[in-house]
Amino acid sequence: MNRKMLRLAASLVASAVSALALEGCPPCGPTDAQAIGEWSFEHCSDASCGFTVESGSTRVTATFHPGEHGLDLAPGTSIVAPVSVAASTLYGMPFVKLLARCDAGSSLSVELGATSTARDAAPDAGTTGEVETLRGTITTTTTWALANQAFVSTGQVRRLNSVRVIAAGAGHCQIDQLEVSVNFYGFCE
Amino acid sequence: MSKRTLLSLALASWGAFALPDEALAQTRQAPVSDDPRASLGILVGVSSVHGGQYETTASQWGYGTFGGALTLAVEGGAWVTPWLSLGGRLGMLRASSDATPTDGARLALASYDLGAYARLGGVLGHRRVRGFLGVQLEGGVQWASIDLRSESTSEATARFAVAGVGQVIVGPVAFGLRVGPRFGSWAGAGGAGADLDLGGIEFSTGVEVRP
Repeated sequence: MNRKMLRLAASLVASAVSALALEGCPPCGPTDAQAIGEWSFEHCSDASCGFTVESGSTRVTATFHPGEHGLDLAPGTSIVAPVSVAASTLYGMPFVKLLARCDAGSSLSVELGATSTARDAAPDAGTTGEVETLRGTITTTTTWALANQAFVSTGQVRRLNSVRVIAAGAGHCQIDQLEVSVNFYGFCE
Repeated sequence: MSKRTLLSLALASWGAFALPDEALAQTRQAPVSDDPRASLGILVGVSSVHGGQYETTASQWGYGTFGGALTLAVEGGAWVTPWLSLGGRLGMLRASSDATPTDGARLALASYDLGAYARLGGVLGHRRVRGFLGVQLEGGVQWASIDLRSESTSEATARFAVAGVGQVIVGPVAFGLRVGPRFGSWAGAGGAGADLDLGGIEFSTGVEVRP
């Protein structure tokens, strides 16, 4: 590498450092993920494992091993469960992790019931706002696969109220290891 | 010199050479046979378990790999030639996965096998302490099971193994080391496409009686 190239590289690095110093670093991005609802479907006392069945039917089923259980959703089933979260701590983007498989021709969707404030509201604006439903489609195959779905609000999600899983199509779907989390965003001082 | 004289000298010279050998043979220890007729042994060891797609599937639920396994086997065979032994073995293998964070449960793998073996090799040395180097080929069936939270699933599959055999033989007892790969697969153990690869590398030590 000749001297000219070295000088060019050094000036590029110096420019990048200067830009960061002048700009600061917001947004700092996700700093932590907090699980606010988890369902492993083990040791269930009923066929819906604590979910409310709004339509269709469910049953506890074996997954990759008879001792590892998930929830089978019949075609057209919709189940819902409340999400408990300390509302004052919630400020970030919700997402859902889910192990799932569906028979061919079937699919899964997940809805989060949320309370949101305006996008430009201050971080300490409280948890009152409009109730909205955040929707996401889980991509499934006929074999078990882990899905990770982020949910985008028109405003700022301040509170999560419920999680709903819907099986559509003519076949069955199975779910396991359902986890609702929030990525908290960090702000530079 | 007459023919009779020549014959007498020849016989005398043969006797002069033959007599010391005979005397030496009488003072030597009883020779050790290099050709045992049978062997019976027990082996303990450690082994890896490849796991395959089953482990990948199980990892989605938070289970770790099977890691190391413990093995135990008894073997018995007959030497059909000085360099070939044919026999049978009864073995077992136990392994456990790392726990899932959900509730600390583990996948417990057990395998019991019954099979035949052929061992080819040769004894080195002719003294009371000798060596044996060879290779052993094994083939048979194994019954494998995986337990989790008091639920079990099992399957009978084929088992094959190849091992290098090294032994130190002291009289009728052989102490040995053995290392080599093991092959076997449990198709669909964790559902379609989630085959459990029961193969691995075995390292074992054992003792064998060779009457």
